Amino acid sequence: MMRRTKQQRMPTRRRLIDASLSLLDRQVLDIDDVPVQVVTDIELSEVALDHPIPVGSPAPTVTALLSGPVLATRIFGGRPPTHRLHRIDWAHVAEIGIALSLSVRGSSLDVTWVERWLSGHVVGRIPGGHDDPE
Amino acid sequence: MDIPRARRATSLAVAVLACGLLAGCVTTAGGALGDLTRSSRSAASDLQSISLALALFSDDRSTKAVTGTAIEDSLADLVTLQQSVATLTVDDARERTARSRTLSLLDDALEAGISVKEAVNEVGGAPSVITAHHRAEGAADRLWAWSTRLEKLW
Amino acid sequence: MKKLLGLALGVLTAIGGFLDIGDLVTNAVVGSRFGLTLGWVVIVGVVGICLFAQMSGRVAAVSGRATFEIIRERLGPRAGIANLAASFLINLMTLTAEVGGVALALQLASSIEPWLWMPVAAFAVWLVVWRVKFSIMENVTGLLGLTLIVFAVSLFLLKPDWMQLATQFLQPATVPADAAPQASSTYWYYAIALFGAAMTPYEVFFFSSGAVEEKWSIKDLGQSRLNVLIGFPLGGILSLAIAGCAAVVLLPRQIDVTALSQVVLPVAEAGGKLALAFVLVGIVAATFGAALETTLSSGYTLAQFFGWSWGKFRKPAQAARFHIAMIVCLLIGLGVLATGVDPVAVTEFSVVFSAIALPLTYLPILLVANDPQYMGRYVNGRVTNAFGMLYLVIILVASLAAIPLMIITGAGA
Repeated sequence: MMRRTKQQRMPTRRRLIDASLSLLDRQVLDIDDVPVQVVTDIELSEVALDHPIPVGSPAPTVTALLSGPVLATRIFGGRPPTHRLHRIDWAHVAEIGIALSLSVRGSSLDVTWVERWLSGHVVGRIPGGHDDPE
Repeated sequence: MDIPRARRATSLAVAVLACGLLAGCVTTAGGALGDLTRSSRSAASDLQSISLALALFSDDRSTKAVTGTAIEDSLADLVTLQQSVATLTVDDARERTARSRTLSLLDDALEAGISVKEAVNEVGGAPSVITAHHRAEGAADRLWAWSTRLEKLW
Repeated sequence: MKKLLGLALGVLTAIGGFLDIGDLVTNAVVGSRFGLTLGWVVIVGVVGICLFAQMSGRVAAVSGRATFEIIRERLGPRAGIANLAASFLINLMTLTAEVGGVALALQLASSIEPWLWMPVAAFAVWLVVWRVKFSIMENVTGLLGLTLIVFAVSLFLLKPDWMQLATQFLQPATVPADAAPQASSTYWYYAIALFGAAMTPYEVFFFSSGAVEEKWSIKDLGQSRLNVLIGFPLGGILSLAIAGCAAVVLLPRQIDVTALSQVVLPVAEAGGKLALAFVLVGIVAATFGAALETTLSSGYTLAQFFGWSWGKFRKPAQAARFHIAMIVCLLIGLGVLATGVDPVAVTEFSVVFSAIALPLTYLPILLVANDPQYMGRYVNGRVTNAFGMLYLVIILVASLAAIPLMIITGAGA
């Protein structure tokens, strides 16, 4: 289980936010406002697990937003292997509000593969799947 | 919001205990006689329903589809009641007598219902609407009277 | 002029869309067994659903977030998952009941066995969810559902003893003198069932997601408030009419409602085949509309909780998991019905379980409606909060009492 620091400073805008409150469980939207995933956990850089952070060492930074099997491990404990985590690089995050907005399209991210697969192979094959309902 | 484990375990135990106690009080109120009373009343209700459907149909106030469906629904319920009464556990001779009397009344009810169905469908040799209606009403009245008698015996 | 038409449409749709199979069956059962002595529950339920729908609509319009997104964000994953599981399962039960209800209504119209209608109904529901625009779907089913006014008309045509009905309604504690000792528990069990039927949780998921679907903003709030405050109470009056018809025709004959066919008999007595035609159209429309809403709600709850892309405003290919979830839910509902279970029995359980699950959906809405981070200056006023707290208590009491009463009364036997 990752140890989290309570506050993380934003590099570009001088804003102090509480990671638990403002990042966790928030919706991630892509550049077109299409939902991508929910932030179930946050990946921090260079933190030794289960050891207290020595005083005076540089603060860990947020490197990615995580989703996927992390929901179960967050509730019950433990940690899934790195290759099973659905990661969105922190660099892609453009804005933090009620939801988090990315600067890229959702379809360009790995994490959306389930949606893209289902869309292409199942839903897209049903007649009318690509029709605009409006 | 972390509730300490001990408190959680206690709440769970209390909940299970409460459910157990309640299950104990599950008043199959009146025991077997109570079940027979309720079954008789349900059957009377089904017959009255059949009777009403027939009356509306013969008055030309209802369609054949609605009447047929209403009769079928009530007949299906009567069959279910028959099955549940037949498989009811009885403890003594009094309950056994009560059960067989209920069963014979239910048989009458089912036949009355079927005669209504035939009258509606104008099956060859079917009784007239008036006869079927009387039959259904009579069976319903007998069931209701029986249930009142049973209730006094709980 | 156009605004007036829009307003009328909204109100009429709210009235027509208010009733579903739960209301139809529960009100008829209650009327046939208790007369109008449980009428007060309908009033309490209608006020509650107005409050609830208003709050969730306002939350959606102001924050742009729908119910389950908020539940996840505010309650965290542990409570959120529990909430999701319970709400989703009960929604699925209601969906099953509604699809079953469509099949039963079509049987009444055609004499064809309901088992044959069920796959047709499920397919039709899917097709409409797949292709038909949200607003058209709402308006058509809502307007057709208005034909259920025939219940109110029938009540008048039956020329009941109004004094007797009024006495029943105003003296709710009247339990018949020759009633069994269990009568009191049965009375309260049905009170909870009726409450659950009036305050269906899926209505809230649907309402708030619908607000996002139709991209409501703050200025749409006024319209929605009118729709709710006029439409829902009038729908509630129809509920009372259903109970009243059953009380006038079925109660004196001691007919206990156990099937949908019995619900329409009073209408036939009052107005003959013409009235019957109206009521059947109305029941098909109301149950079909509710089937659409519960199907969409199942999609909304899952998609909003897990962060999938959702919405009828998107092409299906852009909301793949949302649409697949709904297809799976319809198939599950169909599967349950295929086991031969009586849809009316499913309905009777679904309303009680809806009452049990109410606190799960209600509490987060109440919390968020008071949260300035989501609502800005549109947080709940004092009056709303006063009612809100009152209803929280009512809902909790009903929820806690439901299972014990179900056990004691043998599910209302």
